[in-house]
Amino acid sequence: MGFLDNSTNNIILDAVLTDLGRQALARNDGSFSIFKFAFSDEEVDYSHIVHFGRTIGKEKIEKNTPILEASTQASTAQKYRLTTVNNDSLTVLPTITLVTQLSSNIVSLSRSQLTGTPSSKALTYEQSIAGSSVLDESLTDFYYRVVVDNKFLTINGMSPDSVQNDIAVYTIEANSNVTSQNLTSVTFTLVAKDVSDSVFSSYKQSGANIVEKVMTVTGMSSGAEVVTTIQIV
Amino acid sequence: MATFKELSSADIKTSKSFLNQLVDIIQEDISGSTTRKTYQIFVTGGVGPGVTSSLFQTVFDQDFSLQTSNAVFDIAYGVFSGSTSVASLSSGVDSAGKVLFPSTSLMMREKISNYRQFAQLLLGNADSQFNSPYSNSGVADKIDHGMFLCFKRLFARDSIKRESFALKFYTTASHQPQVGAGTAETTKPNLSQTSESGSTIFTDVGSSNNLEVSYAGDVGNIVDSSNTADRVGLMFYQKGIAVLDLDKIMSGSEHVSGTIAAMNANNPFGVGTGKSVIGSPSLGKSANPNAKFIPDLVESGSMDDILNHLASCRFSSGTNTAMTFQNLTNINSTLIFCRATADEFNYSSNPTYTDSADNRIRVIDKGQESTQKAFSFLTTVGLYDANDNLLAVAKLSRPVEKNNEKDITIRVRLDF
Repeated sequence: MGFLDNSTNNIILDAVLTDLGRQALARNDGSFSIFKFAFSDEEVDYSHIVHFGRTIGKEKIEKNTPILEASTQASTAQKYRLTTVNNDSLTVLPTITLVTQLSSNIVSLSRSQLTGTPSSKALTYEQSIAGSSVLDESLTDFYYRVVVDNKFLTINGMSPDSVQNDIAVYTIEANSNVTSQNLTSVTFTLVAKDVSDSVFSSYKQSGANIVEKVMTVTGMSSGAEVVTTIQIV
Repeated sequence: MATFKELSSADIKTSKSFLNQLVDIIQEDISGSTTRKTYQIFVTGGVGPGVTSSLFQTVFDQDFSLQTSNAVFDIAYGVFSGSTSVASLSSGVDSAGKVLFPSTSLMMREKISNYRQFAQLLLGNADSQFNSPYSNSGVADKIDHGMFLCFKRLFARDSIKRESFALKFYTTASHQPQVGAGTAETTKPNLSQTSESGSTIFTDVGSSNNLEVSYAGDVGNIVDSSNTADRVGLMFYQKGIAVLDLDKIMSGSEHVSGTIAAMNANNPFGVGTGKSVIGSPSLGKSANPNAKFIPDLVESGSMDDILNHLASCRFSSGTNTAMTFQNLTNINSTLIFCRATADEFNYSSNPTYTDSADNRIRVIDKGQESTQKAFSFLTTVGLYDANDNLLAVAKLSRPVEKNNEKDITIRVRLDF
């Protein structure tokens, strides 16, 4: 993908169907039905505001941010969505952090070919906010979306909402306790799938018997996201 | 909090528009042997090495052996089964109904089949005859010998635009005289010699005045640009096929000379086996020394002989335009109006939006929390179905600020 021409004052819109959109059209069953939209800002670096101030920083972002052409891969085309909060006085936003202690912040799992049974790992993520301020209720995440590679990983006791191009999406309900700061957490068990040696060999890292994948956990209300590295041996 | 906003029926509209593209076909692409592909489809047996020929030829925009080449149009010749030349030439019909022709002719049944195929496709009846003008035609308007130009869909798209077609064609063959000979014979056989003069521009000018529709869709008359009352062919716009009356666009009674393919086991006058000489009076080499382009060449020549002459000699061979037209592509669009009110989409989940140390929104200056409001920039519009599947993506060419004093409507157009 190249950059879009931003040398004119006109704003040009480059629109494409994604792989999912083309699949839906090909199914010819009416499933291509645009129902809602979302805005996002993948290219924007808001640290310009810190470095240059609000006025110059905005100008830097508007004029000096080259925008890439639209991606046709639905799973990666829109990462950082803009959010609507019914409170225009927010000054802080929550983040999601991994509570479970890990070595080098990497989840390590083994395939059954090595251990007899695929290994699993219980993971807990929680919303967090600096200090003792109370989170706006609309930002409390009661559901989390977990996106994993469906070829190598699954979540114990759950079925994915959808699987497209070997990417599985799960929606998991938060743990029942909500803190006095309106923060929630979620716990689930990640399981390595029973993958054959030949498949493993195809995807393993060069020079090491490790397949590395990433898992994304997103708060459904806050939009906050955390990415965790998974290594399968 | 929400990252999605549902669209109402008022936010989605459909529209139809069209796109025109100008197509130029240069002379040397038509005349060149590397840009014009032949097909060894027709093969005779029996006498001599036999004759192989195409039923049509394809003109490419560059050397057709290159993978980057695009086929531009097919050129074919056909003769009407009820024409005078078929009637006078045919020696009868066999018990199976097959029309018989003498051995001096070649591929006559295939030429008739070509014509019938186009008649069936464009007129709805294989036995019908093309007329130019399409309607209100007289006996002189009937097309006996047709040159068919079939433009590929890549270039014709949904249709050829009315009154955009023009064709520069040399109505006369090469007349370069034989040096010192004092005869009408040309220096080289004019069958394979590029015409030097006598070009005429044939065009569908005036076809927008009478929007005639045929069995095969819109049709217009192709006329001589210097005399628009002289109708020489038809353009079937949606099919992207031009039918030209060879009796009108070339001087058929002109003398022709050259070597053509023939069922011949001998080597007549050293031209090679499987060949014959046509129209060479001074040397006495031809069985038909007074041969004319019509009917002699179109009857005795193979399809390739006829098409080779038309393509390599009658369009010239320079870098000028030989043919031009505009195509038309219908575009069906869905317009989606993505509207964000003042209090929507003013925050972002972008990791740089907040300070990782204290979760503070970075676009609000420290100490100014009571006066400054958050804002965001949008660069991407995602269109989703009800199950959160991202169906289409649109990118803005530059970031657009969204804050609580601004409502924004992004109009996304999806073309189909």
